[in-house]
Amino acid sequence: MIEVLKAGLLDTVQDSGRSGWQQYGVTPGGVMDVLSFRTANALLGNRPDAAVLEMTYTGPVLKFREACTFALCGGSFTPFIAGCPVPLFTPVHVQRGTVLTIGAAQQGCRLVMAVAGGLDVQSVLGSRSTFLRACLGGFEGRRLAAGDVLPAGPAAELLFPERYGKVLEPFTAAAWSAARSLRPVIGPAVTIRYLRGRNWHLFAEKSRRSFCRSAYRIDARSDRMGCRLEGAPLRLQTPEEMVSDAVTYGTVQVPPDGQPIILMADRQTTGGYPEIGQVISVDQPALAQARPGTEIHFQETTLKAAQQELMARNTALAVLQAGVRQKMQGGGI
Amino acid sequence: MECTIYPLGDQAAVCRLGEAGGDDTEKRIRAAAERLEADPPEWLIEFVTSYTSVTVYYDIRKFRSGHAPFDCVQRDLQHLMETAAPAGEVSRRTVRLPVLYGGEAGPDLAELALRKGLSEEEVIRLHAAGNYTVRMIGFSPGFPFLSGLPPILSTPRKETPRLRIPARSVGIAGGQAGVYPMETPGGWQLIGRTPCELFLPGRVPPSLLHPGDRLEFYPITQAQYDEWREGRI
Repeated sequence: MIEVLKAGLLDTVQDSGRSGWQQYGVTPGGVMDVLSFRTANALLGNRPDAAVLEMTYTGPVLKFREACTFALCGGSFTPFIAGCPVPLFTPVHVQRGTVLTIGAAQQGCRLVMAVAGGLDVQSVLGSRSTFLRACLGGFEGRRLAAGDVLPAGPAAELLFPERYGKVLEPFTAAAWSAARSLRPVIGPAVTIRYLRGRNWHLFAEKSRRSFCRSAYRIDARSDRMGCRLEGAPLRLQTPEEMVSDAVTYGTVQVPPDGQPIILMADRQTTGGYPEIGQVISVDQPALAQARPGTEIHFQETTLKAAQQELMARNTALAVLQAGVRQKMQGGGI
Repeated sequence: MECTIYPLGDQAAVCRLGEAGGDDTEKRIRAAAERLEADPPEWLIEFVTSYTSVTVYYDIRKFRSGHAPFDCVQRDLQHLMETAAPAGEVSRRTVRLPVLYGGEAGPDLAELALRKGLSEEEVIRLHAAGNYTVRMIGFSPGFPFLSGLPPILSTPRKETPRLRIPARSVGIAGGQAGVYPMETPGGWQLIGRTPCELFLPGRVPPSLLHPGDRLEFYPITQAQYDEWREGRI
């Protein structure tokens, strides 16, 4: 049980999203930064899709009503417990009554907190993700507020068995952490690889060049629905209306003002704007962490390369998961 | 069935079955959807049907390393389309949707009728006489993209979109007819309002309408609308 003493800017319960209902217009939703989500759950030996808390820019102040093991993954936030900085990308165990202050992001903008056993809110349409626009799912269909209490699921095994129970510091952290390759890329400028979109050939030659040669900046109006970019306007060779069709996370749409929008977790399921590109899956976490003002450099890549990288990342996560589970069976972290 | 298959990013693929306009394309898409429902490939997470295509979302973890996932998906889809029943009759439902036309429920009906040189009753009759098909559900949960609007009723979107369109509004935009399940901003011409909820979060599936449904609108009175909303119907 985790009590919210003070809410952050936008804290919502998320998991891997709702699948199976897109043909009825239900947004898949889910975490913005899939890599941090999977890494956090793997660090705790959780099911890969266990529900987590996604926090944005400034996080909440949380009180653990029971002993708990959690992992924080994502941007460079500066969480504290009793004045001691809490490490990210590693399992952390706290005693009952501990107060965790997540603080503000120094770099990046989103942080995932996974707890052993997952957050145990009710599943709606097969997912524990919060669909804010429809006030559905997650914790009462909304962002967290002071006074809310989050239920945690039963942890399969104790990650920190009793012999670690005597804590000298205000918390106990594992001596190891997730590899660099399992952490999102964060910085003032990031390279985002894409595949050509279905309407690539409809764009003017000049626009296609602008897209992959000039820098775009993340606009402040970006949110969970989409990353709005500001930069050289993109135009079709001949203006024409598109017929709406299904889209996905990473679809780069170009509305009439020529400023691209990259569709993210809470996107609508269909779109009617021309599509110039598709951001590859392994580069989507970097977008989820890119603050307004971040420079985006698009770089074309191949489908084969994109899928190879994705599969390699999944393998690395499976290896981490297996390693943690082994430690758990061997008597703890 | 002939189709063109191309990637939509690295975890989805589009199987295009024809041009947007035709009834023919619609039948092919329904046949493809039935085939995917009946015999889903192991990698399939879900699919979405649209005016021209079926888009499949696949689980890349179902592929062993060394195999190019998209190539497998493309091959499986090709095979599936080859064995799908062609333009034969696919099973579909007909849904009848009651509509309270005009007045406060349809604030743009009067002006639309005036522009067309028709009476409001004629506009209602024409709209309700249309044979609509749900070609796609998107934009918001339960929102149907419909074909079948009588061409005479085609009207451009409002110059100034409304900040709030009441939930369950029935509207026209260009040559398209639609119904808004939730309150949203929008530029559609609003001619009526249905008392029926289109988005049903407690139900499986969570939408009153399904892709492929035939839809018929029929006019009701204010009293009947109120009865519907009060749950007495």
